[in-house]
Formats: sequence, structure tokens, C-alpha cells
Amino acid sequence: MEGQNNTMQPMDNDITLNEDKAQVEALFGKKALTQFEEAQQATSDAFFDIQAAQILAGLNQKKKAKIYRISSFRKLAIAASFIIFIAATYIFIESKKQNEFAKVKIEEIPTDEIDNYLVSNDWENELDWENTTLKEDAHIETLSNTILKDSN
Amino acid sequence: MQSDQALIIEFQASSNKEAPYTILLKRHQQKVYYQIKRMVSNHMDADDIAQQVWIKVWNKLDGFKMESEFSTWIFRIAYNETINFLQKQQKTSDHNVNEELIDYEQAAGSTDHPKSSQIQITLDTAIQQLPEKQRFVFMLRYFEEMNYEKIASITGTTVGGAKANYHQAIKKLEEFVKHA
Repeated sequence: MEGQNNTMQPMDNDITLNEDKAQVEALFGKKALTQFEEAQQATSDAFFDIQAAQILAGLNQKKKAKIYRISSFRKLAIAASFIIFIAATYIFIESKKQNEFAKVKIEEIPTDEIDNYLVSNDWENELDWENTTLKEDAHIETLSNTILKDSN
Repeated sequence: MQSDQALIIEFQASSNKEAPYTILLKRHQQKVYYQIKRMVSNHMDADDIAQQVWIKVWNKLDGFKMESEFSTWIFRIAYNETINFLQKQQKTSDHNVNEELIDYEQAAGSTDHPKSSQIQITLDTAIQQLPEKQRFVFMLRYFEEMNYEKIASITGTTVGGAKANYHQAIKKLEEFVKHA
């Protein structure tokens, strides 16, 4: 039955196709329709060969362009990611250093280390000068206190 | 002669895709071009659209699952490309049927084309005033002699829808002839 249906289908289609075509031909005539179709098909003999060659050439160009674009894009992407990686590492290390420095309290630093640091930076003299100033200030204060007591 | 299906399998399986593609191109090239030319009337536009269609075929053929015939699939691409072109053309410029009619008369008057006649001009104008989908269906049915199942697959509609499109096109052509 299935085979019969398959063989019947094209016949049915042929009948309806002929009916459908006849409706149009009744309106315009077969000649006008044939001429219309001939006008659509009026191309030079070589047209389709040229068109095929153009399509294939276009595809080859596209393929080449595509390969070039992908490789240059990859190169750029690799270079960009490398630069980003280096920059990110540098920023990370620097910020970590700063944080560590900020976190250390003065009480936690051994005195020897501070002394060494001051010696190496020639800050000792400055420190002595500060001590001398402090001592002199204290001496002036005791003197003024004695004068006040005497006056009383 | 290798079938379309065998050529598609070869295209999808091998790295040398150009050989099977070229055979498919040469086999279906004319029908695709003629259908587009019937729709847009202008040779240069038809050539451009046809080339776009074949580039799409190259790009999409690897994913073609052979659920329909290759010819149905390629006509569907041609349908989409042509409709897109016509819609863009309508947006960019007012489509003037009279201008086309003059072009047609001039072309028909040249020695390369059949002689101009009133009925031919009426036919050309009548076809041009049909809505794009009805025009496409009409061309496939009358000139390509396709069955409605195939037309429905190409235009993305039902068989009933394709039949309705064809008969609406005939009605419009009748009305045009009456008032011409």
C-alpha cells in the first residue's frame, strides 16, 4: 500500500500541477510565460563558469583572511595576557610589601635592628642631638622651678 | 554520477572540501540563479545574491543533517537571502514598478531579448506587484514545477499555506489583468 501511495503521489501532483499551470496560462497565454522565462534565463554562455570561479575564488580569499585574522588575534591575545600577568604580579607583590611594612609595630622590632638601622642611616647623631635638647629642656625646667621656690 | 548525498558526506568527511562542493555548485547553480533572477529581475543583483547563497552553503554544509533534500535546503537559503535583499531594497529606496517596467521594455526591445508585447508587459508588472512570498511560491510552482511539500519546506510554511499562497497569487494576477 505504501508503495502504491508513493507511486500515486507524483501523478496527483502532476494533475494539480497541470491545473495550476493552466490557470496562469489562461490569463497570460503560454507564449508570454515562455518569453518571460526566456528573459530570466538570458545569460552569456560563460556566465555560470565565471560565477563558479568567482565563488570559489571568494571562498579561498575568505579562508586565507580567516586564518590570518585568527593567528594575529591569537598573537595579540597572548601578548596582552602576558602583559596583564606581569603587571598583575608586580602590583600584587608591591601591595603585599606595603601591607607587610604597615602591619609591623615598632614594639615588635628588636632594638638591635633599630639601632643597626639608625647607625647605617646616620641617624644616631640626630638622636643624640634630640636627647641633648630634651636634657637641656629638663634642666631649664628644674632651674625655673628652683627660682619660683626661692621667690616664694 | 555521485548523488548529492554522497557528495555532502564527502564534503563533511574530507579535508579537501572543494572537489565535492564544486560538483554540487555546478549541478544546482543555474536553478538557484534563475529563481533569484525571477524574483529580483536585475542580473547583477541576482548574481550577487546567488554568490551569497553559495558562500552560505559552504559555511553551513558541515552542519547539514540531510533531513531534507539538498536542493530543498539550498532553495531555502536562496529564499531567505532573496527576501532579505528585497526587504532591504524596499527600506533604502521606494520600489518603483513603473521604472522597472521601462527597463523591461528597453531590455525586451533589444536584440538579445524576446520582442516586447503588451501581454508580456502586463505579465511582468502583474508578477512584480505580488507580495514577495506569494511571488516566490508562484515561481517555484509554475516555472520549477515543484510539489507543494517541497515549496512548503522552502518557504517555511505548511502544505496548506503553500497552496493558499499560490492561489492567492493567481487571484491577484486575475484581478490585475481585469483592471489592466
